[in-house]
Amino acid sequence: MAFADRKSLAAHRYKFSKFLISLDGSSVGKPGFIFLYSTRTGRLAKVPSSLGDALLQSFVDEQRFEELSSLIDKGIIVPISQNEIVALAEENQLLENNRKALRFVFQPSGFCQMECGYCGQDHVNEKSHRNVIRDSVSFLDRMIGSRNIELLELGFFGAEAMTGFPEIQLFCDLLKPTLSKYSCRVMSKLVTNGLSVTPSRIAFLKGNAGLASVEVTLDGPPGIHEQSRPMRGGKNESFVRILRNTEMLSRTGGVLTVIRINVSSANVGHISKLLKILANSEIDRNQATVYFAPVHSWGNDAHKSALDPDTFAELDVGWRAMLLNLGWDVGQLPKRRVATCIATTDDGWVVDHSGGVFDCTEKPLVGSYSDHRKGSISDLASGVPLRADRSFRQFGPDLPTSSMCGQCFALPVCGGRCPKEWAEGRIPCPSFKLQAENYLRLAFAAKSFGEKM
Amino acid sequence: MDKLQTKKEIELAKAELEKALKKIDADEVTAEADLEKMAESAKALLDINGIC
Repeated sequence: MAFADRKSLAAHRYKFSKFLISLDGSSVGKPGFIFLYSTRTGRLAKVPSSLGDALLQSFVDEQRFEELSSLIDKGIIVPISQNEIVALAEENQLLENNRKALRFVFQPSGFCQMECGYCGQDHVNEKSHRNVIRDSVSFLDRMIGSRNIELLELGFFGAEAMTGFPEIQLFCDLLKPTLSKYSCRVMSKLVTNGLSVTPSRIAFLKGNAGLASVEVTLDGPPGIHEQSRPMRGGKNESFVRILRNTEMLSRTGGVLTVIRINVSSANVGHISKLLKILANSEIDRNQATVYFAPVHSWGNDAHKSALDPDTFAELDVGWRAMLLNLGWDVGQLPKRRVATCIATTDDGWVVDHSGGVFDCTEKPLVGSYSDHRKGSISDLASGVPLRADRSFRQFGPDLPTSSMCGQCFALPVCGGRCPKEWAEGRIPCPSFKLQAENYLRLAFAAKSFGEKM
Repeated sequence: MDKLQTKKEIELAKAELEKALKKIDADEVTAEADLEKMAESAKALLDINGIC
């Protein structure tokens, strides 16, 4: 929102945004001030502690326009008449419309070498048939052409995506002419257990699918990781191999390595040991980051071994601090979330290895979600529409009126987080919501560390 | 679940947070701090981003 001139500025009354984190300056060595961080804009303002509604109005009366403009630009204050929730939804819609992007998650194989305890998938030793791959590309060709798409965001997911690497190669080879024909850029993310990534495979994905990030999971130090993520057939020493591959990945230029750590009551007591191992490894910290995820229901009862949200959040921020103390800034502040996920948009699809189409990556290969299949890729390729509406298309529009999300300062960066969790009766609020001030303090600490790292 | 081990982990996490926050250099804390760039960076706090 912009005000062209002082007359416009003076014509309004203002209120503080509801999407703010407020931090007492004395907690970061600046007594007498408050830091206000806008989750809507990702910007920060330092204001006197005495700045309240009355003083804010005095800015208008005293024509302190530069200060007003700054606070408006940063999203710290908004016109008193603005319904911010509605404005946020409109901004998100505009940003989505302007993106000209499609999201497509491809599952090349139904197989995985691991049998993780929390996994809800029923793995099968099957790969994506050539026809499924052809139909996927044919569908994408039609969508990219008809919607003037400029960016294709690909996801390679499993089971274990790398067990279907020849299928990924075929998919990329068939897709190339489409991307060239429409001058469409491609960017991809690979989610993998880390066992079968090789430099040549990563080089292929970089060159042919615009690989931008790779996510690998490690659930603890040696022994603990294997208890959480055992391999099939009794072979059970995967930690070292995955760590070495993660080191290799992190040294691949232009690709962000994301280490995911799933946390449950079983491994929580061992995470700090894992973090020390990671910090002392050959991982290139400039190209790698870490995040912690609570185990969740994947069509099963895995969530029953999750920690309570407050404890998890306290640990999350403490583990981030630990990594920072070890010289590794893994990022402390969240990005604006314009669309919650694939399931809440009209421009995202998940295709499983058998050609089934879903609107959520949690559903393929999960028996209890088999009736959530939206159709087949062969139908989509032929122009036959999906048989069922997207499960959560109304999730975004309904957020403003939701009793929790509609009033939450974290909404711009959270987007409700996971519609499936809400639908199944669970509250998926992120740790950021529960420890916002500490995340902001850590961001200041990271900046202080900055040059010293 | 080893409750004692969990409790120790929680205490450790709290101590690490206190240690990190003590290192905040007040001179680096400004309104123009590049926190905005942090929120835009590739390492921005990661959460669900399409593949869960």
